[in-house]
Amino acid sequence: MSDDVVITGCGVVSALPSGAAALFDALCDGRCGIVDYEGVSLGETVRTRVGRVCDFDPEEWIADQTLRRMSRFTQFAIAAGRQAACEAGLIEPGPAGRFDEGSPLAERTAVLCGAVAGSPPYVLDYYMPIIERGVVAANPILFGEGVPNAASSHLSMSLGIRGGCQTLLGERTVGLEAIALASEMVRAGRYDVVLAGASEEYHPILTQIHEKIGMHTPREKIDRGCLPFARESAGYLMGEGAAFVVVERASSALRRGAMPLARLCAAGMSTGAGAAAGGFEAFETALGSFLVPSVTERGVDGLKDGLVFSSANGSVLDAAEVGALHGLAASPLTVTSLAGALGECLSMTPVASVITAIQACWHGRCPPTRTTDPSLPEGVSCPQVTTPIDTSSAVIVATGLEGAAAAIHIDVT
Amino acid sequence: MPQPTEHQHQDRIVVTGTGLITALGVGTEVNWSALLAGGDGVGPLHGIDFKGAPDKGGGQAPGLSLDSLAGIPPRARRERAAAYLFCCARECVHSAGLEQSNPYAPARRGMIVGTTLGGMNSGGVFLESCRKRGVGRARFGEMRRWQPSAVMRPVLDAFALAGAGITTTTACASGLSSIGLAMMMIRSRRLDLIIAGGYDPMCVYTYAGFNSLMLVDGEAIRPFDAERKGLKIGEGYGLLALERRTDALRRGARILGEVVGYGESSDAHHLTRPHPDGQGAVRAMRIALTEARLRPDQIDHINAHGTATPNNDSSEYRAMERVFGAHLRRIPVSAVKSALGHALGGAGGVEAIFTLLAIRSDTAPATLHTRCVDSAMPDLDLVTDQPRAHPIRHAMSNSFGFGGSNASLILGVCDE
Repeated sequence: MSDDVVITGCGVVSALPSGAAALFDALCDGRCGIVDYEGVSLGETVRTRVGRVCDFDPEEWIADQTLRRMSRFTQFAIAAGRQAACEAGLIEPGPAGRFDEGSPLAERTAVLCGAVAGSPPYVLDYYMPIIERGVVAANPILFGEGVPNAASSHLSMSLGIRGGCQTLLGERTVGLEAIALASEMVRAGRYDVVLAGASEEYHPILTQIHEKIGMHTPREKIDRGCLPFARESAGYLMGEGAAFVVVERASSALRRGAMPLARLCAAGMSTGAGAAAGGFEAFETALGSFLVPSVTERGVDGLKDGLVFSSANGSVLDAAEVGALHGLAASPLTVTSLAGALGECLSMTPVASVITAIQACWHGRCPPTRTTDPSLPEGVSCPQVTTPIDTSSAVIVATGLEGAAAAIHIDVT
Repeated sequence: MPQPTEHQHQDRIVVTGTGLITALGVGTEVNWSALLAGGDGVGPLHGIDFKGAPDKGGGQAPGLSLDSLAGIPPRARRERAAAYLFCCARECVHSAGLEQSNPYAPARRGMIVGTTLGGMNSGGVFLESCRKRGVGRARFGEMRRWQPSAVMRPVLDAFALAGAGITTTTACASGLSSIGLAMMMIRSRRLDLIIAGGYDPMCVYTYAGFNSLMLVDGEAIRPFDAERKGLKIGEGYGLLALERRTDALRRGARILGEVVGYGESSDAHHLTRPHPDGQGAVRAMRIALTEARLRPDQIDHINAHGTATPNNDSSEYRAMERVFGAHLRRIPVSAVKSALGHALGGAGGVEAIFTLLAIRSDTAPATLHTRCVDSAMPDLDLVTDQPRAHPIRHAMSNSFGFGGSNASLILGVCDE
């Protein structure tokens, strides 16, 4: 255990109550955070349903005087990052809690934040006036706060973290990639602690874009919700939020009195490039190229116990993802997804899944997938009510466009 | 001060290929020749609609020749960043001798690049078309090409880089951050070969942003000059092929240099201003020295971040002063942004290559336009007017960015 890389803190802000335990309880209660939404984007009124973070009070988490300038993307990241750091015993509770000035651990702590969309409102509010009226219309505050690394930078400033702070941009796999890289950083001795996760802010342009590519549920069917694995699914609904975990070595965690919540047994990623088949068929190759070796490298077969948190969201990607997992597993699989309750939160959902998987293994209960009539291969089940489980480990997977894939294997023994 | 673990020293990482596009030209050797000849890539900007505002100029990469365009996948041609990045990666893979024969399996190869913009030009086209024609009639392709993952995708596919495709951003330190991540991934044996570096296209988005922050100067860029007033935006693509020295030797690769140390830090101070004393920069440089197992007096050349903004240069000088002490006086310092403009997320990769070339040539390139070094920087030996011949075994390249991100890389001669 002492040489293992472990998770010692979790934080999450989502359409359901904030905090790992509160989210898990809400999921097990079958609650859904997806609500009606109406907003204007690019001159069009968008009426849809969204896994929207409501009743979020940033002052509960952020004492910084520049709070009002920050995007929700940044505010969510600070809130979730602060929860995780607090649970890990790195900082005191409350919006002003931070590493002491000159703390050696602050210099040995880093931030890795994944993002697909980041803060669309800030980018649009900054960019559209420039497109319309030229460079003189640029707003310096929106420019500074809208840069993609704003969330990770503010998180490091707010908590007094002085190691590197990076933002990973890409597909919805980047949240898990952040955790995978955090694990590498700790193993390599580059850092003692890494705060890794993802943050995403909703804007109706996301609904418009995802409708345009045919992945979002058509507006006439939005009342059906977001139905992962469903035979009759028409797509997904968007969501937002942030989720972070604290990654460190078990030995150093125990030395400073922090309790390991889960072991990071394996983590991996693949781009799917070079796969024989293009498009969605590349997933199986992509997953298979790293999942099989990675789940066994720490002496634990991640799929043996058969609990998988999937990034399925009701889109055409679901079948490819589940099919690939099914092909790799020797035993029956229990597969669940948070998208039905939180919406498609891009890079954030898989990180929230890591956090929920830890809770599930601790409590021996798998939260249900909010869906109807799932279409799954034989040997793969998807609980639609909270189900007792007898496993200490879970695999969390995320797939993205063009074959991108990432996976994390956790164990709470 | 953190000590590197044994793990960090078990593998030596070398550079076996480079790809470079800047305002000075397309190709590594073209760029180096132009830099040594005193070429200035900064001039009026083309393709940006200023809508009546003055064009303060910048360092825009030249158009790609028909030869360069040949072989670029159609999907990459529609976004400037993707086309140039592909061209740059192709040079990198070719110069590493990996184009015809690559001993590494696709799952053992990856790409890690830094950027601040990705395909923001396509984002602008998409938004403009939404504004004019409505979202329903806008083209999805432009939106997809906006994504950084789509910018790198043609490179991943063409060279079967399946093990990782990571885009990282630490603002203007992004290029070096990617090299730091790549070093870690190779040392940990997750991957065997990584194409790493950075890029950023010329785009009105950043031009307007830096201009609104009063950081863009209409006159020449004068790093560390007493009368420096600001930067000019540049465009740059710089990629390095990184692999373990043992693997490179085994496949008979030409080794261009060794990556011996990397350090990074955050100021945790201000989103758009550096710490006035350069505290974070000091830490990044010291961590890089520690990882390289070098003393400050063993650094023979520094490629400074040198943006020519009053605050950045002051902060950087103070940091160098603290790290190198009295030795700073005998270290030639170059600030190549004076000839290129500030390539933002591309700067780290671009300038790492120039640093490598300085080592190869035992020559520190000249800093253009600086007439009178700031009197508050008495120990700064800035190379001006002409390149300076000087023995260089180890050189440091620095990049600092918005959000207080600092990165420092040390490159060296690769001994047998």
